[in-house]
Amino acid sequence: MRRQWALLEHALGSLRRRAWRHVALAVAVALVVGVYGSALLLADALRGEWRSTLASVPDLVVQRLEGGRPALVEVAALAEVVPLDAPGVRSAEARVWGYLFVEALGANVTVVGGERPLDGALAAGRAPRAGAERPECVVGVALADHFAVRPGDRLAVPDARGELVLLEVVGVFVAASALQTADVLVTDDATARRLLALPEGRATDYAVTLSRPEEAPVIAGQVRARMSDARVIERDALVRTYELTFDGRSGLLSALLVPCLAVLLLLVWERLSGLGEAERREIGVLKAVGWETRDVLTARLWESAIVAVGGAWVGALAAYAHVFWLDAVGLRGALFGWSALHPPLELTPVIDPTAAWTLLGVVVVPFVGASIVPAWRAASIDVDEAIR
Amino acid sequence: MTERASAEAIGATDVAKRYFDGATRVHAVEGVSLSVARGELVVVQGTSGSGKTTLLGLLGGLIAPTRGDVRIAGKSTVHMRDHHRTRWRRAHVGFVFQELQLIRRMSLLENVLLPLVPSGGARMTHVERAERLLERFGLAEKRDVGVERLSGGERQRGALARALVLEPEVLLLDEPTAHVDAENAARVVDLLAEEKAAGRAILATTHDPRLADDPRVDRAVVMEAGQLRAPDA
Amino acid sequence: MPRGGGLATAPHRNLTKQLLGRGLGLGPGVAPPFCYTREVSRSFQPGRRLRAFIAAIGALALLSAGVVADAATRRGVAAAALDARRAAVRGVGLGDLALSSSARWIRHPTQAEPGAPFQDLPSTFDVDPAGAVVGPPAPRARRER
Ligand SMILES: Nc1ncnc2c1ncn2[C@@H]1O[C@H](COP(=O)(O)OP(=O)(O)OP(=O)(O)O)[C@@H](O)[C@H]1O
Ligand SMILES: [Mg+2]
Repeated sequence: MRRQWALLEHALGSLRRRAWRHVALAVAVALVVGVYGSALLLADALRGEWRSTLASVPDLVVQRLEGGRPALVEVAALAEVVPLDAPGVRSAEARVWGYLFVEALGANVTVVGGERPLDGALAAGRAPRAGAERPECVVGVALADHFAVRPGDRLAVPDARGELVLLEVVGVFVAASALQTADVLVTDDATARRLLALPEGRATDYAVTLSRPEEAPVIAGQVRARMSDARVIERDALVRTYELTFDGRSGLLSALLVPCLAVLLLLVWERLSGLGEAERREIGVLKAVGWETRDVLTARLWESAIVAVGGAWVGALAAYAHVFWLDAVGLRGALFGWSALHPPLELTPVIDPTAAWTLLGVVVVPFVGASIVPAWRAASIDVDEAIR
Repeated sequence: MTERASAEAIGATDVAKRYFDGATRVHAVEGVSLSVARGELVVVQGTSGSGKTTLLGLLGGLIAPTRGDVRIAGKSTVHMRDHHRTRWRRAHVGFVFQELQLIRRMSLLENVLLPLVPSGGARMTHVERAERLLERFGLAEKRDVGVERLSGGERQRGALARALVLEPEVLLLDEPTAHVDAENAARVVDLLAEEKAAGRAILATTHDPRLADDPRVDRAVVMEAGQLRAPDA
Repeated sequence: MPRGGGLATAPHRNLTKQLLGRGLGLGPGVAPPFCYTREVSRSFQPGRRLRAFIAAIGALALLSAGVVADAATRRGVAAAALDARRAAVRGVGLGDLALSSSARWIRHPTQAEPGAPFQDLPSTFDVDPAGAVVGPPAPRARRER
């Protein structure tokens, strides 16, 4: 114990004697860990965000394909397509939703039509009612902020033909759901059809909710048998697709970082294996005054561990600060794509221990190794170089 | 013989060191026997390249001999395991190198305390002892100064302090007066004489008559091409 | 001896030892070894370096604690709002995050079309990865309906 303290003390002195080099190395480590960690944290947080509301998504979505692309479905055919009386099926509906490009916004708005159960989802106001004298809508926070509307205000939205439709804002989604609803506009069925230019009797897709989600494959099979041109998306498929989105993007980012890591290690090796004459001499002196090889190596281990662990630690803290306090500036573009309607990022940290350990293992272990090996080589030679 | 062996602090029997430098073979030390007793100050003289430093390294356990035996404090160190020899050496031998080998940008006191680090660092007694040594060597003021800012004579005495900090029985010095002026040389010789009086066995190489001809030197031997020769009368 | 023997210095040493030992959360027996009093070693205090090191670790640990606390608050806030979020998703019926709009699948990647040329499925490799970083020329973006 005393010995370790003394060697640590010596290592600190040695670090201070070559402060600039070690600071540079620590900064390099911090940078790699920081950027890599930011990507991981952001991707994990987004994944967590998606997973947390997963259970509320319909179990099955049935699309109709025409020429390989989704086409409109018949509202009336719902009962033929979905086995409504099958034991696992709780409910099914034909949904009216789609994208509407709003010039003034420079972005797409997700328009959702019909009587939606919005209890508990609104920060203010109520759900839109069909048959009101003026069409009503509920908007997400990003839309509300952009147009500066509150419940009671009016919002003019161009329909698919370019004519303005005047909507009365009756509610705004809770800010906490911004990641899911920032660009959503919920209105009644008729208005949604007008905005999206959807003919009467047609709908975008069917959504099916099951009472026992594990029966999804069975029901999906039944739907396929009843509707030959159906594409049935099970929730499992959604999950996989979604995980892949951010895995893919953060993976791409990480792949870009592999060369950075390689460069860092190369730098470490180059800086340390070419152990300067002075440093070799120092090791010789230590051995000559009675240090054993393992003393030299232990001091060295302390030295590089302090640099690597310290750098990684700072890098990890910086990554957290970057993602959660600075809203991942610079990184969000790479992970989100462009959008004129970015919701405010209020992410919940999710830390994947495996990833964290992997990251540490990938950076710290090679770093320490790369600095120990040359010292070991220098320390295991004869000391007679030191005596003359 | 037995009486001498019991008093012997360090000794070598027929020790040799050869270096193979490519095709050429250098007989740096060739069949040297030597013994230094406690309280004895012995000087090794010889021309440059005659093998003085090598002999000192062999005796101090820093260089592995090609042949022969080396005894430190009554134990043969030739066949010891590396780390045993290191510990034995640390406990019994103080070494002052020809180039001193103080670590730059480290304070003098830290340099002096360097041999203590592997055994758990300096304790109060060690620090006090080191400070007393520095005071005795007139270096008390320079304690916290980086060694690269010390004069040659100060460095020489600092290296001597480092060799003495563990209170070894044997003191090996390589050219202890090489870098210093007459006054400092006399000072070093005085210090050596004091250490000798304290019962240490001292072996110093030199070509400096200021040290070699000092009356307090018990014995002088001369090296020539790796071999020991009795001094000229 | 001008520099005070063990007796005079012992109390100081113990005090430092206690302080350090407590600060480190170590037992009383495992205090770091370098605890000199000022009178014995005026400015030479190897322990100073260790203390600076421990202080640095402490600062990092404090920051980390801050981060952990921040993460906990965020989790708490998120947990409190979870029901509302779930209700919103249930109401809208679409669970995708309103983030990606870098290609034609726009913001509902899970609802993409499987057979199209230039697959827009997120599981396919992005045809234009740079598109995620570099925006389209402004006038083009306007016309893209
Ligand atoms: N590592 C080595 N490899 C090859 N030859 C060596 C090595 N070390 C010493 N020698 C040779 O051994 C001989 C003796 O060297 P040594 O350093 O012992 O001389 P010295 O008597 O101390 O000389 P000086 O008075 O100049 O210090 C020299 O010829 C030197 O070239
Ligand atoms: Mg020499």
